Amino acid sequence: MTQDATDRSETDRLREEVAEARHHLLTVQDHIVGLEAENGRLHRDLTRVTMELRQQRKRTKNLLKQRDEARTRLLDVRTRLERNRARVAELEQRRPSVARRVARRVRGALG
Amino acid sequence: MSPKPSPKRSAEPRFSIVTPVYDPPVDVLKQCIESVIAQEFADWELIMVDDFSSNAAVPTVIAQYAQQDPRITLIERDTNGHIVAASNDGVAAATGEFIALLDHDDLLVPDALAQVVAAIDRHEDVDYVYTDEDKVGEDGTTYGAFRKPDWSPERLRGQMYTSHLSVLRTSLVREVGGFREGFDGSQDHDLVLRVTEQARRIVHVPEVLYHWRAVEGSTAVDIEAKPYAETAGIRAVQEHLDRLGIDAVAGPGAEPGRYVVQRRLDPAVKVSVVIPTMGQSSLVRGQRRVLVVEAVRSALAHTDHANVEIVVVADTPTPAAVLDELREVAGDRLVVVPFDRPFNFSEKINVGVCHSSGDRVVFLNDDIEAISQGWLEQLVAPLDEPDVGLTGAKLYFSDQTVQHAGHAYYNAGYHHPFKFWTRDEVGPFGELVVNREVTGVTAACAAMRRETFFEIGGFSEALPGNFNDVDLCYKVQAAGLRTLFIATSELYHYESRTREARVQEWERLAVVARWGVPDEDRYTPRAHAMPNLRRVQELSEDLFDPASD
Repeated sequence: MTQDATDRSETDRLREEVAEARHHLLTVQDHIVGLEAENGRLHRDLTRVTMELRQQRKRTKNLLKQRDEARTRLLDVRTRLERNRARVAELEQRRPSVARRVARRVRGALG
Repeated sequence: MSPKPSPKRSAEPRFSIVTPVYDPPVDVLKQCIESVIAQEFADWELIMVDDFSSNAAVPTVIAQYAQQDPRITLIERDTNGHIVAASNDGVAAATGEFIALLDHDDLLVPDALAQVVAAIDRHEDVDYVYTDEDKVGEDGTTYGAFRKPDWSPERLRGQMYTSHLSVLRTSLVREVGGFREGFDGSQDHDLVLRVTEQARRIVHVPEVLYHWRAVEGSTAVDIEAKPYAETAGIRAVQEHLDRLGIDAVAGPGAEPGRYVVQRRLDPAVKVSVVIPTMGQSSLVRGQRRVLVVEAVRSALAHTDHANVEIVVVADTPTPAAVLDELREVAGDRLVVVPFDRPFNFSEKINVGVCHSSGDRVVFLNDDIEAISQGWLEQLVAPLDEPDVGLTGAKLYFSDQTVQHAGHAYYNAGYHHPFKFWTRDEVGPFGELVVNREVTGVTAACAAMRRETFFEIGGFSEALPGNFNDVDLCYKVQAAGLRTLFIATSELYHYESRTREARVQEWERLAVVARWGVPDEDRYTPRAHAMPNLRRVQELSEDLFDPASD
């Protein structure tokens, strides 16, 4: 093999090595860019989900407040209902006539 | 009912609506003014410049409105100076922070200014806002909505797409010298080109906020109605290119109102065309041909750029005769890179680029045939602009229907809009004949700067077959660079019209994992990308009801 041929083959080998190194660089860089992209995407998703969570929490809080108010109202209505029921029952009880109750009071006063 | 109190004019309103007026039908003029008075956002002034209308009723009507509403001003010119002079009188009188341009027969929708204010208030540095528009017929019906792309400087060189409604920062309009004499008919295009060269931020409001009156003789009805406008438009684009130092010539496009920008490629720039192949043959128009040989032959025959290197990445089974034929066609410009690993398009391109030496790299499928002379120059030259990261060509099937005119990513998918449109069609709003920003392009014929390719990590080898170009385009976008569809770089792509590439779900998911699920495309809204589907969607329900037969 002549010196020229040896040099050429050495040059070719080095060129191939450079190309392989470049290729390695490319695949590593793609991996980095891909990870950064995925990280960015996850971050965006997280932000969106966090905002949605915040909104839903606020909504839940409002709904709970509404529920508690409704419960209080219900309790109030139930109490009034009980009172009214008792009054109605009282009113509906069989009672002596007015004349008899007056006579009884008079007798009591005299006795 | 008590009368509505007359609104007060603020000392410095937010908007100055400038309307040059010349002999509009009076009822139409009234509708125009009424549409401004009906604005939900009240902090405006309307400056109507009557350009010496021959109909005396015109200034009288405006004066009556001005008496009723202090926000309306009438300026009467003593001579007919045409639209530039009249518009400049309006600009000179404007006291608002922003100027909104309104033609004397057009209509604003009631929340037009409110929506523009919302867009402006999101950022402090907004200098130009434009919105979507549609047309309004003589009977008042609206049609032909133009859903515009987000800011697309390349497209603005090919057509005045921002048009109506345009809202510009008053100080900037004055700084660039307002409207220029000699650009009648394209004076707004010229102004917007000059304003956007200086603007800090440009915002697109994707809502139809403006109805463009379509009457006989107007540009809304007939794009050829003002032939003088084209000459002015070409000059406006040419001067814009010159100001930016872009070595290019502006000329008339496929139809009036469209312009072609032919760039010159520096002869010193070395271009490496990377072609992966297996050396296959195929029948093309009844003739058997070795695809890669014809791809290289046509690519070289249709370019005047001499500084080209052809890098063929050949799978091991590639016949030696094919490589010999390639050497005959490309001579010492040919670099053959043997590839003996399993099929991986991304890897083949990456290996090819690693063995190339050009400042610009072009990815070319072997089933391509160049059509347009200078396809390479037009594809590569835009990469001289530092913020352009990727360019893609216009591709046709063998029957001259469109195979590729840019990608659009929406509705959780990756699409080829305008597929099967014919070569002589211009697209819904010129999309097929003007160079423009797109979200992505196919890697079947695309170009990049070498350093950009390495900066973004080339093609992802995790995607050997499908969507590697989609991923590449996302990477370009993530690097803050623009991707351009080049309508003037035309080639055949002898891909089957009927065979869909077999896509695996994991390939789509791999792209989604990196970049998320696409919803609406920034540059090709789905309304224009899938007009046929829209037409089907608009069909009467009765047609699908068997009982109606």
